[in-house]
Order: sequence, then structure tokens, then C-alpha cells
Amino acid sequence: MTPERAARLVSRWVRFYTRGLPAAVARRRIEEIDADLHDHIAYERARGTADRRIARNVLSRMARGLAADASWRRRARPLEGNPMKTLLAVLATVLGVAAIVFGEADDAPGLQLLGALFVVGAVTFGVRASLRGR
Amino acid sequence: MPRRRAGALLPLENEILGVALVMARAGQATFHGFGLAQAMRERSASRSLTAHGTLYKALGRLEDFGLLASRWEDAASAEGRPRRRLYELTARGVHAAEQALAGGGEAVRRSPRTAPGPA
Repeated sequence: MTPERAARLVSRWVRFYTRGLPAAVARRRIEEIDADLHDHIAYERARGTADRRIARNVLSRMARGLAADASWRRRARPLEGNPMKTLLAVLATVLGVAAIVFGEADDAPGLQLLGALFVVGAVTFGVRASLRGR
Repeated sequence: MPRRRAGALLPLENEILGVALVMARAGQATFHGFGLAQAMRERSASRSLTAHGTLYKALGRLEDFGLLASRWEDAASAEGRPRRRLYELTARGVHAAEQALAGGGEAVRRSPRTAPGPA
């Protein structure tokens, strides 16, 4: 994967979790992360870091910040609805992130894919529930 | 992430303040997200950069506490790249950062300091 592709994935994720937030709040977060991604890739390239490694670092920063992203969104606009569903979505996200991290350590792409599916599924569920609740 | 006591700064927030003060003393009064993450990595000799979500959430909290102020850089300065959000320590932020630095790295990590009330 190229760094630009990884950055696009992060950028899409940011646009996804800022959906439904006040426009100024969402725009600030989106633009700030876009600038960060640009600076990160430019810096690593200038140091001669391999593209694959840059892409992995960019995705790692996204994955490690997922819980903070969810908590930041909750603060910007609290989730409504059944707390048990929210808990299940959070649990699935945590399991997914753990699978991605362990998959990376064990060089197990299948486990990483499963983890990514868990995270994407849980986040989709959480955001849809949030949007339905408004 | 450690649970926050009401009004207390998290270790990461103390670390941000400390690094921001070191940068300010070196003549760099303003900083942006990636520059800060890079400075923190170098200072802690860590292999990885702070995650996006963790970093920007902490910066937002410090701004809410009145310890940091931020603005967008001028479009002309951006020279075609995405414009950066520039942060700088407020007077209260400098005071809190001096406390954070005086506590030392490990002491700061173990004993979060208390933030002032919202600005």
C-alpha cells in the first residue's frame, strides 16, 4: 500500500466519524488531520523511509487513536439509544483493534482482515445508530 | 488511557505542555500537530508517533482548559500544502508547563497535575 492510499483511508475515516457534527467542528478536525498526514508523509520521505513502512505508520496512528476518536465524537455529540448496543459496538471495536495489532505482530493478514471487518462493522453500526437517534 | 480526575491533566497533556515549553524556549513559539508529535517522539526516544485521535483530542482539551490557543496559518504560508492549525502556550499554559517540567519526566507521568478552570 502506498502512503497516499493509507492517507486517503485515514481521511475517509475522519470524514466518517465527523459526520453529523457541527460543520465548524468537523471541518477543523478534517483539515487538521489532512495537514498532519501531508506533513507526516513528506517528513518520512525526506528521511528516506520506505513507502510501505510510511503507509504502515500512518495506519498504525489511525488504529491506535480509534478509541480517542470515538470518545472525542461522543463529547462533541453524545450517542443516544440503547447503552447495551453502544457497549457491544465498543467491545467489537476493541476486539478488532486487538486483532489488527496481534495480526501485525504475528504476520497474520487473515487476523488483521478480520479485525478490520470488526472495526468497520462496529463503527458503521455505532454511527448509523447515532444518526438514527437524532 | 488513564481515567481523568476532575480538572486533572493526563500524563500526555503534561507531556505536550512540557514539549511546547521547550520548543518555545528554543524560539519556536507556535507548533502544529505533526511537529509536536515528532518532537514528542524524539524527546521520549519512542519508535512511534502519537496517534491522531489521541493527539488532537488532547490538544483540544488543553485549549478548553485555556492552556493553549490556536489559529489557522495564513494560506500564503501554506504554499500549496494543506494549511496547519498553529498552537501556542497561553500565559497560564506556560505556568502549567513549567510545573510539568519541574516535576520531571517520570514524576509527571505518575502524578498528573491539576488544570486551572476553563478560560
